[in-house]
Amino acid sequence: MLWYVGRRVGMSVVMLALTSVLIFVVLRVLPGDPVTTLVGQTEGIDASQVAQMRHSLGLDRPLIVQYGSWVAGLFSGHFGMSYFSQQPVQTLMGGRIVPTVELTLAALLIAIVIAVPTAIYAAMHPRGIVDRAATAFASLGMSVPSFLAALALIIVFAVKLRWLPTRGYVSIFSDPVQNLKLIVMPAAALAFTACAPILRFLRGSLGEASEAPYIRTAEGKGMLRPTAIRKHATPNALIPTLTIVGMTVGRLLGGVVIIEYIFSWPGLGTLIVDAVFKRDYAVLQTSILFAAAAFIFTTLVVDLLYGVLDPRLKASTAESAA
Amino acid sequence: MSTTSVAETPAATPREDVAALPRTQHLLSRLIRRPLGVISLAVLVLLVISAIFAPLIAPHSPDTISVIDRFHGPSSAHWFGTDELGRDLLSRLLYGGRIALGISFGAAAISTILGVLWGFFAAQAGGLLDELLMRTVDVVMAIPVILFALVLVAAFGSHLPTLILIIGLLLTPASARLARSAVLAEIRSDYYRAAVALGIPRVRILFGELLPNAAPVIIARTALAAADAMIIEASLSFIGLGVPPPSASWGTLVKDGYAQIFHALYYVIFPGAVILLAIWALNTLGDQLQELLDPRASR
Amino acid sequence: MKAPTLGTTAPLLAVEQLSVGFPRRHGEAVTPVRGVSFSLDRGQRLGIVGESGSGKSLTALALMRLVHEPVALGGRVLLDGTDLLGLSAREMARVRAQRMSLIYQDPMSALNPVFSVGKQIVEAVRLAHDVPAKAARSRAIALLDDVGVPEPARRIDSYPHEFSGGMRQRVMIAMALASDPDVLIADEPTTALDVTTQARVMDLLSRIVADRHLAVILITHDLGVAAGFCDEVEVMYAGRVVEHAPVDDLYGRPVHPYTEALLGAVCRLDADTARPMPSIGGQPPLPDRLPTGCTFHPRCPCATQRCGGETPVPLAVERGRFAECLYAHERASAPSVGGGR
Repeated sequence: MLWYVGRRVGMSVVMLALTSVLIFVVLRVLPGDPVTTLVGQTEGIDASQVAQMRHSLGLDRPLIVQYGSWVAGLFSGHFGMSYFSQQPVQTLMGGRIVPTVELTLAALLIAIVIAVPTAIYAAMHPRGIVDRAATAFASLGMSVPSFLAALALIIVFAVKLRWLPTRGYVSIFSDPVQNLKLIVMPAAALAFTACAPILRFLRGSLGEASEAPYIRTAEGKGMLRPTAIRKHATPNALIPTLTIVGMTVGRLLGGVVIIEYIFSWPGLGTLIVDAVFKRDYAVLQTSILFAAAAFIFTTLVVDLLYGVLDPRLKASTAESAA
Repeated sequence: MSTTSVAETPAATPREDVAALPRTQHLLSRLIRRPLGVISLAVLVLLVISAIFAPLIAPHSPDTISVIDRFHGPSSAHWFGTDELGRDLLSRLLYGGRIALGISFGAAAISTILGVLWGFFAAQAGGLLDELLMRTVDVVMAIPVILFALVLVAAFGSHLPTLILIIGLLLTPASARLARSAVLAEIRSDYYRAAVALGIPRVRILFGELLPNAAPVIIARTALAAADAMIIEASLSFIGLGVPPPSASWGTLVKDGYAQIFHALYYVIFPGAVILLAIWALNTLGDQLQELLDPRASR
Repeated sequence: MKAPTLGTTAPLLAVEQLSVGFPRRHGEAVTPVRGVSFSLDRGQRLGIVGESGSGKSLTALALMRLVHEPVALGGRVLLDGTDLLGLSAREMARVRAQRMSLIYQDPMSALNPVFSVGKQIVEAVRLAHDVPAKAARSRAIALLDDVGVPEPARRIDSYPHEFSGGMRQRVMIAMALASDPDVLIADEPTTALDVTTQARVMDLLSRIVADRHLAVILITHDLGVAAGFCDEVEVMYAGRVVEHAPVDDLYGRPVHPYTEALLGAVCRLDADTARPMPSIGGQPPLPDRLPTGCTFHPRCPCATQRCGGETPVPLAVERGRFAECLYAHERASAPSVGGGR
């Protein structure tokens, strides 16, 4: 068992390393010299100043060395120097991680809390009103980009009703009520798009599990069918749904960027968008790697959870007595 | 002695014997019988036609600025109203559709073609090469799509052809996975082995037999890819990193509308609704096709 | 432990003309089971034998009303005088919890793979009676012991996939007994097992049924298993009962040509290996394409012109046995009929 865990962790590490290479290649190697882009519009800069700028940013070293020093820096907390703001990347990123994590987790929580009970109830009463409504909702949710969901919420709650503010951030520790008012729209917008795939998959998975023979066994013991589905089908259906939840985290990490930008949420997302506008590759490199790392980590956790939750996978020496 | 024999064993159609997946035309006729299939297809056709014939249908030019006509709500002269520069919104939407649908379909086509080649090649090669190619897919998919799109836009800019290429490349890995499993299923079938035994070159089998059989699955996936592409493009355009001015896709219109949200709600609602409609139609079409192909689909 | 009931006139379970029909979108309903009747008392063992597709498993499910909707059940199933087919879903659930149990064909799929067997047995116990958790668990351990699972106190927390096939079937039996039922229906309990395990499980069933004085219905396609276990046997073909007789009579002197053919098709150790194995030519008819007249006549070696036109009804040939053949009486009295011995 430990061997399996170790192997799986090792695979994730390799994945992360390869991803870092990919990011580096895409950002640094392919587009060419970032300095030219940086000084592109500025007039009156001569060659020696360009060379000096290049040197100060460490861009005149061989690529392998640049990559190596980047990666080494990651371990020691030095993520490089922003091309624009004269600040170390880790400083720019540091204060923004918490708001992004808050938002992502809030959205995930809302999505799960809505999707799971709804799917279960819908499966317990198939083709009923809840089932049909849930299916339609899921179909809609998968077709709505997060920014449209955000806009809809803003129109209703900020423009028309004027109940909620559209920008700002306050830590949950300093002012929980205000934090809640500020987080509810962005989290809800994100949750809307995350909820749909989970709901759909779980409902489908439950539908399949409802046809399983052990449901009939449960009915044979005197259980009513909806109860049998709730008690017996759900654990079986939830296990494969874990994978979908993992994938949803990946989508959330992408969507959070857009949502943060819309609501001026001071997280990594707004940092990334700004960095894209300014072509600040140094910031982009590490931030994107962080996001990918979060995703890879989530996938790892899901895989390991499988081993824990599914009794068939628990490495048990099967003692079979004939 | 017994007279009539009545019993007939139900004819078994093993997948291996005959290339049993329905061909495209057959699929189309079955699709039309499903209500959601018809609706989504009709909506798409409508959107595509209005995009193609935009210059003929648009009541005004999308660029005509008319300061006196700013922020008129929907009226008989301007069915969808006007924007902050007095431009007719309906016309802007029609022309915007050319860009939005063009990017979406273009990217989907690229992702399908590249993904199919990638997946076919990997499945066909097997062994280490297959492993390598699929690990690459995993690595690329480790980065959330929108983030990767942002990175690529930062690196390569967002001119229209670049955008199509970027989004197409980002959606390729998912298509590759699908194509690979579709091909693997076929490679294990008897008709494939028979063709190989007959000495037909693999490439010809690939394109002559495997591809037509896997086509319905791939078409379904293309529709879904187009939906994904539109989501990406609209999101990028909305934050200003997508289609560059002066072109405007639907996402750009939503962005413009959002800036004027306190003046005119219709400005943001119409393009938003159209985006939603297009994505929904593409997703539903893809789903319906998938359901038709899944023999277990009974719900 | 149930004491044998003395002096009751009505049987414990009386099935009258049970039919199972599935409505279809276009056309008539399909009825894979038509007109099954029998009665059963405590301590009695009835066997229902037939080929795959004869409707025997469907009959078992219909008795418990576990057939998947939409379905139309006809006839009457009287348990102590109450028609089960008329009960509400809740009332039927209570009957299943307390009075009748079903043992399924494939224990691996019939047990939930993510719950321990103990949890599933305890569930059966607590569905039947209001029993606190600890007491239910002790009962579960006792049941596992009863069915011959070694180290029951430890194995109770094991998962279904950690047992062998035979052990899993024993677990199923324990679960079926957990509610202390009056009627036990075993649907092909030994089909998924190898021969030696089969014998052991049947022995176990035999002992349990005797100890608890249960009424048992054994569904099987294995004539040997039925012969060794049952008191009476019903033979089903294409959804109808074609013969019903006490076991010795059925095997010794079969009346219906189908029964005769079935017995003749049994592989015997002393058979002449040079000659081809006798088998019944053709296939059983599909439920929606039944032949006119006698459903067996297209495959019957003794069929006449009449057989294709007239539909036979069950004819009583002796006390306690009947056969559904136009020539039942003639065949029963003819001395040379019957070759299954």
